[in-house]
Amino acid sequence: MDCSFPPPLTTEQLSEATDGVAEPSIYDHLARCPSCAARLAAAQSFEQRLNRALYRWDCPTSQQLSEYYLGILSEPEAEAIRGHLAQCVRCGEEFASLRAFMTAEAPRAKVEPARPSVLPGRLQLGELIARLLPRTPTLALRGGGSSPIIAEAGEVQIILDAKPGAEGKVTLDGQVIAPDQDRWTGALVVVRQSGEVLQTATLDDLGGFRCKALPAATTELRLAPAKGPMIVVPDVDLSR
Amino acid sequence: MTLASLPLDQIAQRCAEETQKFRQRQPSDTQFCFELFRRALAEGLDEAFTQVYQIYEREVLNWVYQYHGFEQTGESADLFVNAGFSQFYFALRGPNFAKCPELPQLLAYLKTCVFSAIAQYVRRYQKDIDVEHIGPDWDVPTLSDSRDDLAASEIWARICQLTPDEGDQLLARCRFVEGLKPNEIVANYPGRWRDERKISVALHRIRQRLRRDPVLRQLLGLEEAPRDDSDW
Repeated sequence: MDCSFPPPLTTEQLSEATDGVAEPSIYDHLARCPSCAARLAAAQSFEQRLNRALYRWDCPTSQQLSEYYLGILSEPEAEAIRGHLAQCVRCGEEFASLRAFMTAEAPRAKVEPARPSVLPGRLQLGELIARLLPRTPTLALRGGGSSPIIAEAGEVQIILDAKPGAEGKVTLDGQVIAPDQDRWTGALVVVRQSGEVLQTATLDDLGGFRCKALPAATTELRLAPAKGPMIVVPDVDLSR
Repeated sequence: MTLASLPLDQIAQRCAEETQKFRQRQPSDTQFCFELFRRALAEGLDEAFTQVYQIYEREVLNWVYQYHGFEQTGESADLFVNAGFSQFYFALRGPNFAKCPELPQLLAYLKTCVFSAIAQYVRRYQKDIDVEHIGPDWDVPTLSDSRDDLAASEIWARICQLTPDEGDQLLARCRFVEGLKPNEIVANYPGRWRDERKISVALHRIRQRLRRDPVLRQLLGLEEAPRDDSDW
């Protein structure tokens, strides 16, 4: 592809455009010339790869900065963070933001913000929304109940078995099956109905958990491992 | 009767009562809530953690809304309420509970978990993802460290080899590691670079060197560089 308005932009001009410091005529040229615009896109693509690979790769985590702020790190750990803060602009900004957040007075007025629920079909970054698979009809057997509920989130399967208990309540047994099963040992399970937390549980070393005496109603489960995204299983109907 | 021998529901009820007093700026007794946290985290009692969640969820939700960084994310507050509690749970359970020997420290730690849930999210995602353009088959990156730090250290080591000049190395760090724009670099390193144009000129020189390096391109998973700069 040739430049539509030769001469084509120089690499210096493209670099300036990448940095946002180019003359207006450069941006005009890029708006009208697909060839030079494609060259700029290629340059930006390389830059983006570098940024993605390197962005704050050697910075302490936000949690480490928090523990430094709270003064609960060991002296060598604190010393390392102090040294890093002295030379990292982004961590300095984040630490200042943390300090301001922690020292800000809570508003005296009672604040009851609206609580949006999980929007169906919306991908929440940092969470995986599990998909409920259609339930298999089972034969009516003496003492039998309905088939288990199976939810999938990526490569993770969550199998849920709701058994009726006393006073119309339900015992929910769950099982997480994942390729990286170890990551799910000790994961936190939070059970909500109508937005309210009813119970929490911890996955055992087989990925299993049990919640007893739950109302037979629509339920949301959140499963959070120590590392990795949370999985949300919305709209589990415990009444069926 | 000692605190540790009181039934959980009594501890939780007293904690809720004392928390309400605290919210109303009245004198309050911290021992019941501390005991509740101890049972939830040090002893790992699920029922106790449920009570902690129920009593403090409102505070945590308010903290999410208080932190200005939350608005940048475009996410629902629920994401960070849950992420904050999860982080708190994993950070202080078992022997780690000893990090916070009093209730005010526990609550401060919980508040920092809200901050770090949001801040870490912003770090990971806001830098290079335009949410409006996410397609249906976009692969969700994880909140945990999904990048290969070993690869990052190799890439950075190579960049340092290619930028032996101390100023170039600092500029490369500012741009590629911290993601600083030229005006931010000028503001934070006054006297080092006169203006944004000087920075752009220096970056151009660095970029040319980096783009042509076959080792760096291989580390970034790119094909060989073109022979000329025509595709710049």
